[in-house]
Amino acid sequence: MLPGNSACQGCGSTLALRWVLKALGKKTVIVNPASCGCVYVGLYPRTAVSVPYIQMAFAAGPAAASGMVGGLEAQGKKDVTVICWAGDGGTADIGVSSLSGSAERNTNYIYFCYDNEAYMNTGTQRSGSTPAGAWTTTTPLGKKESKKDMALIMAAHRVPYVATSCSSYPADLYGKTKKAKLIQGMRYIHILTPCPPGWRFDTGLAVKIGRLAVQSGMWLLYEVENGVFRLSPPSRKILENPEKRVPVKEYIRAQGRFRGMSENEITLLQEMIDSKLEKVAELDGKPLFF
Amino acid sequence: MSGIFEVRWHGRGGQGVVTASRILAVAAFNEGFVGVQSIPWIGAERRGAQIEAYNRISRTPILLHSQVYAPDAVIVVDPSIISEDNNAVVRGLKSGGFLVINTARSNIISSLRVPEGCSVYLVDATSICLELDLQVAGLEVLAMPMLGAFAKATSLVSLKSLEESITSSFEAELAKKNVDAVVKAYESTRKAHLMPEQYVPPVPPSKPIRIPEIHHWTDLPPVPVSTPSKGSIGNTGDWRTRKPVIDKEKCNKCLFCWMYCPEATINIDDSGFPQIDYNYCKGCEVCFNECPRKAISMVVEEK
Ligand SMILES: Cc1ncc(C[n+]2csc(CCOP(=O)(O)OP(=O)(O)O)c2C)c(N)n1
Ligand code: SF4
Ligand SMILES: [Mg+2]
Repeated sequence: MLPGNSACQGCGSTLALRWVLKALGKKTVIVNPASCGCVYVGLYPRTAVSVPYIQMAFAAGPAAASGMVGGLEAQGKKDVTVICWAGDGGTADIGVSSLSGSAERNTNYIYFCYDNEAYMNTGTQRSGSTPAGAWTTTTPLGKKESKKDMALIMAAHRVPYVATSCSSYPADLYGKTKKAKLIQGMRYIHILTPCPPGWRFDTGLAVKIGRLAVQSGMWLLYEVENGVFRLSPPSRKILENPEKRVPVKEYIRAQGRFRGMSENEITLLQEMIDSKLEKVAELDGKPLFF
Repeated sequence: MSGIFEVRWHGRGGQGVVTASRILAVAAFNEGFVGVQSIPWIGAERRGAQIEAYNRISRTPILLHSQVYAPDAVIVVDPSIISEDNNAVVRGLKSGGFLVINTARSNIISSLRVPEGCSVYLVDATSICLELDLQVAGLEVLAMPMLGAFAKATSLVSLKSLEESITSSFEAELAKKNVDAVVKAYESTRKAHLMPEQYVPPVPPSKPIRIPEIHHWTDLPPVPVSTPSKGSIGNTGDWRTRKPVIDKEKCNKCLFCWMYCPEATINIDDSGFPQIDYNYCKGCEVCFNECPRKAISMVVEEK
C-alpha cells in the first residue's frame, strides 16, 4: 500500500489492506469489486498498490477470482495467491451468490470482506451488514433489522478456514492472513474496519473505535478452522476477565451514527451481548456444526 | 443582475462544500430570487478528494439543469487547489467575473492568472474556523465562511438572508457558530490588487469527453494498466490542517504510530525512529491518539 492514495483520513479499510498485503507479499493478485477500494487504489494511470489489481463489476468479485485461479492453474503457476478484496455491500448483498458458489466449489483463493457496515463509496446507504440502530442515508431513523452474520454463513459452507478480525488489531489480522495463505481451498476473512465519515466520529479515533467494538464484545475475533471454533486472544480476554469488558454504551455513544438509539435500546443490546458471550464461552474449542 | 448568475465551488470532501452551496441557494431564495439551484457534483465524495458544487441564481425560474461550465463566480474553499492548478479553477470563468479565495498567504496572489476584468477577493476562512472551532468530525468546515466572502464580493445575497438560511438548517448553537463565521468572513474579506500581466484571456470551459465509436474489437482501446506510485492522487499532505510532530525526546521507538498509520506514510529512519512523510500525511490524528508516550503533538499548519 503506497501513501498518497485517495482514501479518507483515518480509513480503517486502508489500514487493514496494508497489513493484509504485508502478510501476503508480492506474489499476490487482487480482485476488487466496486467499493471504496476501487477508488482509493487510485485512478488510471497511477495506483496505490504495488501488486496486480483488477477492478471488477460489483456482483462479480468471486467469479473473477475463480477465473484468475483457473487461469493461473492452467499456466502451472502455483506460488501466486489470489484474493478478493470486497466491501460488506459487495459481500453480504450483491456478491453473495457468486461468493457462495465459489465456497461451494472450494475455489483456491482468499476472500476478504472489509466491513465498514454500509455502502460507503456512494455516501452511506444501508447494507445487510449494517447493525441495528445505525443511521444511514437510507435508514434515517436507525436500521430496524439486525446485521447479517457473513462469517458464520461462510463457516456453514464448511470451507477450510474462516476468521474474523479488525483493522485496530494489525497483529491479529497479519497472523490470520499468514495462516490463511498456507491453507488450500476457499478461505474467508471478515474484517471490521471503522469508517470515520460513515460512522460519524473524529478521524483520529479510527483505531480506538475498532478496539471498543472488540473490548465491548460487540465484535468477536475468532477462527473456524476445519469446523472448529476458536476465540482469538483479544476476545478471549474479555470472556475470561469480565472486568476488562467495556460496556457497549461506550462503543455506541462514541459514534454519531447511533445517536438515535435510546438508553433502553442500549440496555437491550448489552443484554444480547452478555448472552452471546455466555454461549460463545461454551463453544470455544468445539466444532461449530453437527 | 439580468439572466442567470452561475457559481462554481472548488473544495475537498469534508469541508462542507455541498452544504454551503445548499445554504446559498436557500439564502438567494430568501433574497427574492425565484430561480435557485444547488447542484452537488457526482463523483468520489471521499473526504479530502477534490470536489465541486454549483449554484444558479436567477430572477426567473431556471430550466437548465446541467453542471455549470461558464461561471460568473468561482469560490475556492481550499487554497491548495488553486496552487496545484490555476487553470482548472478559472476554466470557463467569465471575464468580469468574481474569484473568491480562502487564503492567508499572499504569495498565492502573485502567481494567480485570471480572466480580464475579473475581481479577486480574499478571506482567511481557515483561521476563522480554527478560531470559532467550527469543525465537523475533526475537519474545519471551510466552506461556511466562504458564504460571507461571496456575499461581500458579489452583493448578491445579504447577510440577513444567509443568516435566515443557516438558522433554518442547523440547531441553535451550531447555527450561531456558523452565522458568526459568515459575519466574520464578510467583515474581513478584502479585494486583491493584481498586476496588469496577471490578467489573461479567459480559459475555455472544459469540453465533454467524446467516446470513440466501437464497431469491432480491434477498435477497443488497449487495456489500461496503472503504474504503482506514491501520491497516486497527488500530494495528500495538502489535505491537512494540523500536522503531527514527533518529539524524539519522548519517543521510545515502540513504532505504534507506524503500525497504525492508515496511510502508510510513517517510515522508520536509520536510528529506528518513526519518520513522517509530510508529502502524504493527511493529518488524520490516529498516530497522535495511539502514541502510548504522548510523544506526538498536532501543530496547526501554515498554508
Ligand atoms: C451493479 C452496481 N450497482 C451499484 C453500483 C454503485 N456502487 C459502487 S460502490 C457501491 C457501494 C459499495 O459498498 P460496499 O461493498 O459496502 O463497499 P464500500 O464502498 O463500503 O467500501 C455502489 C452501490 C455499482 N458499481 N454496480
Ligand atoms: S468512506 Fe469509509 S471506507 Fe470508504 S475510503 Fe472513506 S473511510 Fe474508507
Ligand atoms: Mg461497505
